[in-house]
Amino acid sequence: MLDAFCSGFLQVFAFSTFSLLLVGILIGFVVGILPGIGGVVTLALMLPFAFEMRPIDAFAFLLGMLSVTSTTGDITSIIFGIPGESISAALILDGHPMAKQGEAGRALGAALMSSLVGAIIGAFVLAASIPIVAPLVLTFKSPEFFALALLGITFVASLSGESKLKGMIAAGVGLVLSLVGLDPQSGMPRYTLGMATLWDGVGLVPVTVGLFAIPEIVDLWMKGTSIAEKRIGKLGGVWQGVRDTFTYWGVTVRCSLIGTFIGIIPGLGAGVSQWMAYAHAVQSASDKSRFGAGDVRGVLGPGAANNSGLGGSLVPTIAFGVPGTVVMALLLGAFLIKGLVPGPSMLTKHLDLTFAFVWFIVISNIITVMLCFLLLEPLAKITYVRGSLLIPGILLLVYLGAYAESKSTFDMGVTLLFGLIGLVMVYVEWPRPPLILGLVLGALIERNFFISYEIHALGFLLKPIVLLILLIGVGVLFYDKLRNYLAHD
Amino acid sequence: MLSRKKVEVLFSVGIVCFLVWAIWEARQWPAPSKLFPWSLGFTVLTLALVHLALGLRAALKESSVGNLAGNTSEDALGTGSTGRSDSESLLLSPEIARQRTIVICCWIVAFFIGISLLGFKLGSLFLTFGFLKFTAKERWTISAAIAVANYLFFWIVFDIALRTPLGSGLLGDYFGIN
Repeated sequence: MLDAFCSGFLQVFAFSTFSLLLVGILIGFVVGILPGIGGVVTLALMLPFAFEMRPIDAFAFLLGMLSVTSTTGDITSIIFGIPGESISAALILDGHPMAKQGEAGRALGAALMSSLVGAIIGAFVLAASIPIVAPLVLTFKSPEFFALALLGITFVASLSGESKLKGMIAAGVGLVLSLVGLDPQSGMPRYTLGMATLWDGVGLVPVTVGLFAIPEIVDLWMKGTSIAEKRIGKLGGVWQGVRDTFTYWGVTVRCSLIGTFIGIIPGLGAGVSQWMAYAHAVQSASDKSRFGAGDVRGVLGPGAANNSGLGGSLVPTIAFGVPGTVVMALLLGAFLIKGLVPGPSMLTKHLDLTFAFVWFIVISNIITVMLCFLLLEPLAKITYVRGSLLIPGILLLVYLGAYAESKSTFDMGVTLLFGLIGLVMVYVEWPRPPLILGLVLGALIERNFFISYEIHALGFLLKPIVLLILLIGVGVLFYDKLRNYLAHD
Repeated sequence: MLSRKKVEVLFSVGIVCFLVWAIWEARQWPAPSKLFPWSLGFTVLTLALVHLALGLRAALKESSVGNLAGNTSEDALGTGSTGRSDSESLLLSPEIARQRTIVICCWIVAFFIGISLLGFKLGSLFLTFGFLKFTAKERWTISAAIAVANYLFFWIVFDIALRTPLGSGLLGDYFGIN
């Protein structure tokens, strides 16, 4: 196995492989910054180019591209408050307030370094888990997925700020919104208002972009200044952000593991793990007062989690041919195009290729972070440009983010509607993250509940792993109270 | 002018209406299809009604205090529409703040309509120029340069590099222009 591990490393540096890795990184860098054009669209566009390549070159190109999209997606979340990727949305909550306080450099430094740490942890978990992953993945079926999704909902308490009641209602509204579309049981349209466009449900990206970015645009115009309200140091503390990653190493590592674990479980992905990681960062902090107003731990958590997920999600794809996300389904297509059959042969005959995947993720993230650090100064300077000059570009990116995924004007309308709702929510101080969490988890909860109920009736709630996850959920709900109680004693 | 508390009550009323509609819509669905929407809908509706009752009580209390002390307009919608106490918008007079909010909201809607009609490329050209020149009162040269830069961005990235044109909008399609 060690031979294969070393052989995988050496294969990365073959001229054609490394060149294509760099090309993939460059493409991923650009599309990661563009809102709405995420890993799925990029992979779909670039897959045909992989036809003529050798397997190792094709995966260097594709994985190099995929590895960096979430890292660069963090940049627009921090600077403009627009998620470059749907999996970077949680970065807005504390990253953008930091940028407004003149600490864009620190937030970017923290996001980049935590992304690198997350990616490395995710990649090495992939390497380490290859021999032992089978029992874990095969243990998780619908009841366990249902319990995991419920566990996600318990994090609403941490995402709700001062008002838990408002947070619960917002999460409930998000859950109801997740019901829009075709009923998974009967195929009947629900809440579609007679529009076929809504059969696929309400898009996560248009809702997220609207809820978070449009209130920021209004705020920027109201202030009449730049995004950053004050200047701190030459680069606003990039190295401080890098140091923060290691100062709060516990948050970084735990959130990386959350991202990796959720990535391994098919059907969840970084869209969920970023919020869980953020909620964990809030919950594990003794002083929560700065969260939502620019706490660097709110950047480190989701930054690490959204990048560590790629390594995790590759585990079931490689080991069983079970793609956990749409991106992994497309990558599975690349496997088949190249004549590779996921499963035992990837762990025996093609083990060196599997380990090369690990190295692609690690090396492409190192290169991306180095590239980003070179570009940090101009990136951070954008926050000092007069707001009125930026507003048209930001508005165009907002609508591009909504439009690009489905090429639908309707989704731009959804963004506009949720932008106005977001504006009112900010004004009346309602938390917005629980709504997104509800929207992300709603479909998972409903689908897995019904499958579990059909198979086990309510007996599925008594399965050991389900009970364990539900107990963790109860622990999450009462963690603060328990800690306060113990502190008083 | 509406105070923050009254806006919150209106927002809560909106949520209650939405949830009532969601429950009402599900009434004729087969049992498995409406089980989840109803169990969820009734629970969230109960929470929303509790919150509405609390909000109404706070708003009534505020208006009775306001009647005694004289209504202040500081908390009116428009004074920092995003509700940030630390923003400079609080330095603006309520009237100016409300005007600025209305102006930017109109532009947000205008960008939506403009892009829908003209597509991203032409839309970015005209909308950027219009906003910068006539609302932000920037110089002609700066307005034109940024508008052209935005146009080139969409052309180079989507038409040339990615080869996935973003569409010409309704008018663009009708007149065959892009």
